[in-house]
Amino acid sequence: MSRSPKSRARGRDLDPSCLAALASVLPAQSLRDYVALYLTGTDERIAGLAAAIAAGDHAAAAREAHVLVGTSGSVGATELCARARALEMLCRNGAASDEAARQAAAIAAAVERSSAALRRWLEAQGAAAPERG
Amino acid sequence: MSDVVRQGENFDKLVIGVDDAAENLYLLQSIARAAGYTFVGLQSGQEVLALPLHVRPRLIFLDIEMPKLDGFETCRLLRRSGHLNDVPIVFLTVRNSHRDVKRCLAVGGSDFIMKPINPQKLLERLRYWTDRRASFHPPNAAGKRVTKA
Repeated sequence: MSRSPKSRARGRDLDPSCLAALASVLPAQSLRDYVALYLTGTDERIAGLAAAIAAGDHAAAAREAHVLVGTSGSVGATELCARARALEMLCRNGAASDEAARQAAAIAAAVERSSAALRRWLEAQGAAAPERG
Repeated sequence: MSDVVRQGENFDKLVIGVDDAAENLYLLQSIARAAGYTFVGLQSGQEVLALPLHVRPRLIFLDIEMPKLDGFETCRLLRRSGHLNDVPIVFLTVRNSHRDVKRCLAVGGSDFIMKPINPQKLLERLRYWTDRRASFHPPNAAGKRVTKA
């Protein structure tokens, strides 16, 4: 059975197979703690990314984006992972500031969606989601 | 640094992870501990180079992109050091170019795992390298693996 466009879009916000893969090797509490740590850390990285873009510091923006590639991909935030990878490349290749700023804004929007999905997942597990940064 | 590196601790199943991102270290730690390993997480190359002589990990997971001292340089310095030069080092990285793979081997890396981390693959490599310790030798100067089956 094929998935609806809405369902596919949700899958890019949060691919449930990644959490399932983590659940296959981690105790439930460790997985919940990891997701909570990811949410807190991602809020901090997005703030750092915004500050770096605003300051025109593309090297710092590339570093923040680089970490986001690894962390977001591990929890299944597929679109965020792809956008972070694109921003890292843009920044390392000397892209114009407005282009980097547009990609950073798209990343912030992707974080909103994927983090909301992860918070719902945490709540479904009976765990409190961390406070927003 | 964690209490686990105190003198007299049992390091038989010690795995060290080096990554400046706390989320990545937590994930490594959770996977390793769930599989029965002792885990110590360090956030810089300098910290792993400063490990006391009595600390003998079975395996080191090493991130490449770290501020100040990157994973390549950390690995090169570890291979020159006396007491950790024969410990398997597995790079964890989002880099996957042919050049990066060659460089990992050239500086003495043993293996290369792509981020985002696939937990099953990481566990598989963790078991592979810790099981092979007795026969492991780091790559030679030409970057060729000399691990014996």
